[in-house]
Amino acid sequence: MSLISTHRMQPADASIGLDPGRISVLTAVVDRIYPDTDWGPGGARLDVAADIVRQLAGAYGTGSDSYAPGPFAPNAHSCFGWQRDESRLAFLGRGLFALDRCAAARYGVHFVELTTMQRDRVLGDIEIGAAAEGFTSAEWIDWFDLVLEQVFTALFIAPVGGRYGTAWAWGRLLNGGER
Amino acid sequence: MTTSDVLIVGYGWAGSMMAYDLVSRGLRVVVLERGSDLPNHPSCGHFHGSQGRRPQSRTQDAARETFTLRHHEGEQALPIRRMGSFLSGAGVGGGGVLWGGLSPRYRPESFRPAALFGEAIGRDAELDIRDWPIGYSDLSEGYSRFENLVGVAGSDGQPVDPAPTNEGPDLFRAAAQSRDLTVTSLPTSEIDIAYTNPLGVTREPCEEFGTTLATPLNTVDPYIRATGLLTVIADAQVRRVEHDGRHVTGVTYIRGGVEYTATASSYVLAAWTLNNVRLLMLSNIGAAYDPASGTGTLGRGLSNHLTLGGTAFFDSRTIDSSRKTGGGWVTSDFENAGTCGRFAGGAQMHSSNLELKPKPEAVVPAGTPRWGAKWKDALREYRDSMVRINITGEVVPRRTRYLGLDTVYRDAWGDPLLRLTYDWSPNERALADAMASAAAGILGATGADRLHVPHQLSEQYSVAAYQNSHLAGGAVMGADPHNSVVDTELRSWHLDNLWVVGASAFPRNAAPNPTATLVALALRAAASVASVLTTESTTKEGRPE
Repeated sequence: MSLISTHRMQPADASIGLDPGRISVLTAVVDRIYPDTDWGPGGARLDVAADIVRQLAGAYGTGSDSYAPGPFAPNAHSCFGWQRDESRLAFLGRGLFALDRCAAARYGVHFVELTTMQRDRVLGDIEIGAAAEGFTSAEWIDWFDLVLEQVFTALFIAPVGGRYGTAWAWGRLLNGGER
Repeated sequence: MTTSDVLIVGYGWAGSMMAYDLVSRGLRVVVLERGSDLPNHPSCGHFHGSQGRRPQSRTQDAARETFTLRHHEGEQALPIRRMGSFLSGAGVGGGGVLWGGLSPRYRPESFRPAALFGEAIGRDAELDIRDWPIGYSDLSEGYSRFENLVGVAGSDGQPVDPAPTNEGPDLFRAAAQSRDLTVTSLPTSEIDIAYTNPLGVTREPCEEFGTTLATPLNTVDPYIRATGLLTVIADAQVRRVEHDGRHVTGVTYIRGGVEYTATASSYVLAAWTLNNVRLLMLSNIGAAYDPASGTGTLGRGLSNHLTLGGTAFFDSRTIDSSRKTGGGWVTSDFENAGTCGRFAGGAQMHSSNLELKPKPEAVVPAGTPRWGAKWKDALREYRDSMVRINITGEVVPRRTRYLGLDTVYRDAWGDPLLRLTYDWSPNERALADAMASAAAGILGATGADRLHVPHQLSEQYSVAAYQNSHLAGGAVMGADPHNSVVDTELRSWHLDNLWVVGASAFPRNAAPNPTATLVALALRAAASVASVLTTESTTKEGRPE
């Protein structure tokens, strides 16, 4: 593997977060990952996107508790953990922008304007790195894994009510997403 | 300049137990702790809900100092940019505030692995397995003291009765027994009743979760501080152990951007495993291990535990998991499973009530899509229809697995990071396969409809997700200074007033969780420190003018 420049990772400014356009795309994504069903609300109704933004506004997302000096090896195997020279929050935002471009290139509309079937098709390609637009194949795979991790965390690990435990989480998931 | 009888670096289980023993003998102790002097945390072991059980605020700040990893010598080492597969504690209590509370002892025969695994050793020249220079009988009193001080629950003479178990662990127990395995209560220090230890310190279950996890802060720390013999210097980043080649002359540390020196009659390194080794290397104490020539001892003997698991899923049966105590069942029959000849080492297998962070791959059957409606339905379908087995497997020392100083990456103070050269070997893969087969057999005997029991380790060792914090070795104890860093009482072979305490001294990191063993060792080392100080004092008093 080759190392690149020796600059420091730039922690994202958590106060900026994600703009409303990207939040809309993220909401649409999480609603396909954890969709509405007849027995419980999906990611949109549960406001999972807001939870993710909040999660990534912390040290984990902004990189403020991460080792920042270079050199970096952004193409390193995932077994080395996060090796990108940008924070997870910045990477998420960049991916949401790229996803919208991906949708536009394929269907001529924004991601949020796609049908659910089209959204699933795009996300399925991204999951395996088969989407050509915006990101490299490896970047798409990493990005999708980050989103899956964040959805799971929002649902089961970082509960919105400050409580801990899957039993409490399921109480929320089965009862309409009441906070 | 701060001075005392004994200076201890680090205030986790090893440092606090050393401090407890030493102040109880009337000695003055100064502790240098790199983290903060944080208030006692809720006794249940869970921090504020959103922080979970292992908050980053209580772990080593990777932004300032971390480790690097390479899988083999030809690979470029990269920094572990955020603590991942293992955690090093920071702040008073250290890793003792982050642990899971499991407190098993080693089996007596586990201290003599060379004979147990002779067949595997003869087949694999890279294995670097050695016996402990002491035996079970040398630590049995320390084990008992640990169990009484922290209040371990168990059915083998521990001071607290085992906690009630959930239906899942009970199914594991019945299934394991049906396969002729011996199953006992899981020794744990997470209990659901109040416990008062011999020092008069009481810990009580918290209101929210109904349990209490033993930590240094709710077991020995109140007693130590009440003696008035302890000084804790928090937020003190130790950089060097100063010495003249025969004795330690002081410890330099940074606090608030200013460098200080602390002195004492005796010195104890009780930082976490890897940090003990790094501090020795940065201080030029002992020769670093060179795998090519086989010379040097510092950094050699690196061992670890691998974490495996298996889940049984029931299609039409609800499993009651309502109890949140640390109760559970364990079989130690695999602790030296390598005697079969296929591999060296062994494993411990248990099922408990304890709820740690759920892992996506463990909560739905294999083959379930990773997202979408089918994933969501599976999450719901099996949310309370699972039995989980945890397997802690042994990663034995190899000649090609070792610690050294990195040549590229440095910490916030300009010192080289510690580099791990570490990966899975065929030995771990054979062990994992054998233990997965055993786990599948047990889980199959529960009557489950489907199982998820991975047999294979990852392609390469990964630091991306948490596994455990059981790394050991690197400053191994022995009876011969040519192949060890410290003697049988953890006293440095190089500097006569230095002890290096913790799992860094383990010659073998057998499968049981290491805390009980490392505390028993720390108490042994404390007696050694006190003995030397007493002897010196007597000698000085008797010395003519």
